[in-house]
Amino acid sequence: MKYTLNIQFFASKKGVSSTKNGRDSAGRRLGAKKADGQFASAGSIIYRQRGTRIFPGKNVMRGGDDTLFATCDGIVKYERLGRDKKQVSVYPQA
Amino acid sequence: MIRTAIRKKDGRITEVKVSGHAEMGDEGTDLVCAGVSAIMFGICNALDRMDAGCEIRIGDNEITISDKEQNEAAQVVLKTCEIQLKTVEEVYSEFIEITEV
Repeated sequence: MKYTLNIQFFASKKGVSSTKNGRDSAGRRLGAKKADGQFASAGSIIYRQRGTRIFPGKNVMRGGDDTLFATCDGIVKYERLGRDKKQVSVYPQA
Repeated sequence: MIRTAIRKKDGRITEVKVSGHAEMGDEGTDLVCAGVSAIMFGICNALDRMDAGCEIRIGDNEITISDKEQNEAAQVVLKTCEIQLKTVEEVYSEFIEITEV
């Protein structure tokens, strides 16, 4: 015969193979929680991070998961730290 | 879904185009695909053997048959093709759809 039968000619080709991928964890909502110039009360979280993308400055401390939080009421300030680092400080209002 | 377009003029079939995937099962287990494949390859070989003046194009998941010369024998074969496909569609309309254009 001129046309050799392909009995699965109209089938989707590479079959539905299972893949071991396709899982992902939920986003951790990291990043800034207080903007520059914003008021922060003592104990409030300023920046969520993994590692120290931003370092603690004045009146700011680092928690166990590297979260930065204010140690007193005041205004948040993001500043440079050295040549290529950043820090965040809280300055009490006068 | 396998899509079949049957073009007619004055009640005569001028073109049959069958394309797509039945998606009834994985390759090698797709029953509707097997049925439609057998019909179409059989029709193509019949038209070829009868030298019925039809143009046959077989691409990736697509077969198009055009009856250029409006040959009587070709019409009989093409009508048979239409009825065969409709027979499959009658039971497996979820996997094959025939439209007249």
